[in-house]
Amino acid sequence: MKVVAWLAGIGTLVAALAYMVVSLNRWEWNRALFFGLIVLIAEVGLATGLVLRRLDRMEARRADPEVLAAIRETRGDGPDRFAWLKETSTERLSVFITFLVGGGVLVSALAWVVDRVAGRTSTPLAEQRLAGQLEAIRYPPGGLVVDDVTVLAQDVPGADDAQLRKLLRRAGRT
Amino acid sequence: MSRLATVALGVVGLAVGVVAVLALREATLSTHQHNDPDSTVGLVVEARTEGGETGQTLAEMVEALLLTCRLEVASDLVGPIRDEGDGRFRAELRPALDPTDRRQLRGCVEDWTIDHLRVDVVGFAPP
Repeated sequence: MKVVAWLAGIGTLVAALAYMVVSLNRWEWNRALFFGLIVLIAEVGLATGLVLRRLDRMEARRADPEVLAAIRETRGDGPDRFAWLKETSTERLSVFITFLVGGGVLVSALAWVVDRVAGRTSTPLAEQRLAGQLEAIRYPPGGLVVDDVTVLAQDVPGADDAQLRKLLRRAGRT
Repeated sequence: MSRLATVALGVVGLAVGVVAVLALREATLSTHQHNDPDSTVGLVVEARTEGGETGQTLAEMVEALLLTCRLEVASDLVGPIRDEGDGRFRAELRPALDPTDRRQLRGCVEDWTIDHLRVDVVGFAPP
């Protein structure tokens, strides 16, 4: 895999350099600039890889193989972060359950308090605001103008229209 | 390696370097020739666009490109740029272009000068 990466980097550098020179020869400046940028990027990448490889070699040389082997053999198991969840002792309850249930109770209590306070403060204000907004669509104080046909309709035997009576009461014609 | 061999190699290397530089100069140094001011030359290009801005036609983009690239040479466009269909356009320049000017103009026209536009120079034709 490292060989493939090195080959890709070197190939990119060489190809971009060739295209850059060809573009310069053809007076294609924008292309030459673009390929020059690719050359620069590949060059920086390869140089960084070379430096890191040299540093790795230096560190590997310093490490004593015997010491390294001893360290690796005596390496213990990593800590089990969730060991407390696996406890089977019945003498004490798992703190997980406690925190979960207790936290839920606290959050519920807080929500109840917030709800009560909000209900007592915002509902009257909202009602007042709604009443003000409905002002625009309510019947005019004098009522609607009712035609004679509608007025006479209430006198028809058998006619019992509550809406009509309401309309007429508002219009002052009963 | 003996001193004589070192000197000989040095001389050979120097000679190769000089020849290489002269060849490079021959290939790339621009040399301009005087042209008749009234002479003209035709330029035929093939253009195509992809993903360009809406409302911009291919003819507009080609015109913008040629107006920009003619600044690279000492010639001006004569008359409108003719659309010959299928993405082919013909323009006339005055005065005519020497070989260096033609290379410069071709390079500018075929370069990535305008976004979403690719133009190839078909050739320089008589007007």
